[in-house]
Amino acid sequence: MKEITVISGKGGTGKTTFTANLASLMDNLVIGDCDVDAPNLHLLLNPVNISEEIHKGAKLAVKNQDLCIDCGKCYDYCRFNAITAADYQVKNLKCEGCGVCVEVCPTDALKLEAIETGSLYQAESKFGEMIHARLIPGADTSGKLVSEVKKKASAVAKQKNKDWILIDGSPGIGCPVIASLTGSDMAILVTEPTLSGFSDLKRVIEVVKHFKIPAGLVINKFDLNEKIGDRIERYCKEEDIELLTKIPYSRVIVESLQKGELFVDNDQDLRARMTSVIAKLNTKLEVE
Amino acid sequence: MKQEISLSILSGKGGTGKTTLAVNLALALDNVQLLDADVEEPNDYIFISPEIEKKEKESVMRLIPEIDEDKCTACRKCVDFCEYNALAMMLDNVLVFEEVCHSCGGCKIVCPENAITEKERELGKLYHDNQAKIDFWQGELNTGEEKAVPVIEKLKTKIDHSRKVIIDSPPGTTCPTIEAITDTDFTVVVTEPSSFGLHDLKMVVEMLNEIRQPFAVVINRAEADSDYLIEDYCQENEINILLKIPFSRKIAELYSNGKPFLDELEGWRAKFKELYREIREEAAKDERNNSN
Amino acid sequence: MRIIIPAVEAGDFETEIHENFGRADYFAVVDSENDEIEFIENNAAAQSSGAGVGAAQVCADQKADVVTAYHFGPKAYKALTAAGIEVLDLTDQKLIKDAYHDYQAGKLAEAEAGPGGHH
Repeated sequence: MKEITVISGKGGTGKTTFTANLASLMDNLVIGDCDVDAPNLHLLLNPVNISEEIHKGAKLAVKNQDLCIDCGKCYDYCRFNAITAADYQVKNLKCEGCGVCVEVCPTDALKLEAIETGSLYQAESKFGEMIHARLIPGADTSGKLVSEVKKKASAVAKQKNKDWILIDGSPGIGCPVIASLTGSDMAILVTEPTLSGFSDLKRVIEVVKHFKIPAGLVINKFDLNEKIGDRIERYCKEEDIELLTKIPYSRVIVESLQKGELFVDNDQDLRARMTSVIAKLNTKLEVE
Repeated sequence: MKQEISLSILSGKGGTGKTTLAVNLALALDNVQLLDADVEEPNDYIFISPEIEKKEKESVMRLIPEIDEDKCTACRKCVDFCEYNALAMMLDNVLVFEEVCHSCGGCKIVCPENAITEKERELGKLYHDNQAKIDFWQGELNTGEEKAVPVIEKLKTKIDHSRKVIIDSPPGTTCPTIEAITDTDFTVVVTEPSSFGLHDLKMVVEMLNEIRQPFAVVINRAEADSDYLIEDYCQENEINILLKIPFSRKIAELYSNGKPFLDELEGWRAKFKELYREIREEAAKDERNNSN
Repeated sequence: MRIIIPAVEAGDFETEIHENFGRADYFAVVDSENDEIEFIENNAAAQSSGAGVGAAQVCADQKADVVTAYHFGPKAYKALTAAGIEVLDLTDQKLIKDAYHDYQAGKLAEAEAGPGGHH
């Protein structure tokens, strides 16, 4: 069983579209959407949810008004501007659940409570089981929910004897990306030939290198700027990152996306490019 | 009614066109201040001030605990108090993990021996390039740090209300985004006409309504065939669409080279000027509604 | 010597090794003096952040001499070494017994600090 995580650094490079189309061409697969902030994979794979688990990923201070004596100590000590000045109420959006107000309150009027920050779904899609999650707006991304998606995807894959786990990773370079990459056999970096894309790609390569995970490169919209595309290819070559494929800036992709369709179903050339990626994955990971 | 307003630019996810709108709009106006609050991955500088690293900068600091080992009795109260596992007790020494410390000051409070003091650590930086037409500020979070909000808070202290203020916000609906858009007069949400764009737009609208922030939409990569996806939703929900930037290879190519398009495509400088006027009007309407 | 290996459940030597350290549900604690094994719950796994440090704290509190896993984040590594614990890497071992046998045979390499700077 091999796990592949698709990441991009910068958002909007086509990571999710790529992942969905790749998934449609692979056999014996479990899919995990670790982009829990703004999950989009389900829009192309149309999974049917079979279970939902509530995720409690943070704590908030909660006040028992009956015990409050309006001394204002909570307001004085809070460093996050999470207590209102007028009536010493907790501002949920600002509260970081640190527990300082709980500690300093002379009448024990405050305590920390775990709150729901999102949901984890187990689902079935046309191409395999799919694990995905959703964060409540305002809730902060934590590596924890991402880890739970991966954990469940792993468990289902083992249970059903799957060959592949394909993960749509979180964008950026922080904790959620690291959680997306932990334990993966390979990372696929999807980038676009732009200055901003290149700059973000370099940062995400550092993360991948430290994990000593082999990586492959996909340049999306490559003919938008072949000069920058070449620079990216050369840079990656020096970092031992193989080019898996280049995808052109294509009307077919835009239109397929608009219709909620997979571009591999609508264009033979694009389909061939994606199939070649799978062939390379098989070789690189020595899968029979 | 204020003559100049502050507006924030937002999208549900990265790559939708926030930077495109922010930089082109800023370049079309006079007496403008552009603040890049997308502190995890600031990109505006590529178009406005490519040499930003060489410009003036200031540190944004936060406080982290320092343990006086002579006073420490290894009672573990601080370790047990910390909600973030930023402290650990190993061989009777307290280890501090600075990156995950939230700087809440709680360990210092609970220590019965007064063994904990605080020292400063750099969380991020603010860069400043005051150009002839644009006063440009960039906030940046240091690699390895996770708390974007304090950097954005510090960035906001630089706002000059005598100018037209544009804040390029982090994408999404999490706390840093909310911090960036709070206190601005108006928010412009950039979206694209696809199922992804619509899905993320709905998410953002939910958040904006919850914090009662006035807003309107700009469609990027607009196309006759698919704009309806966004237009229908906006109509049903009484959301204004202020501008459509078309899907254009030329615009994309310019972007890829770090170039804005407002002077390369005819009529666009005027369109962006007009956009600002409309935003100012929308903001004024909203203000009048609120005072009624 | 007390050797800790992350485990997927509280079972026995045939139990599978957990792929994470910080978020492992259980730790197998093996006493090399008598080859006895016990399992403890890793309560750091349930926390939102800092699971690696929390797990290291659990290991230190268990008076572990050796901790082994597939990989360690830099904070977990720092915490474990500060506690004077030997930190060893697993490679392709699948079950607790495989990890233990390889440890006894001296086949496990010392771990290096994980990705620095990113946390």
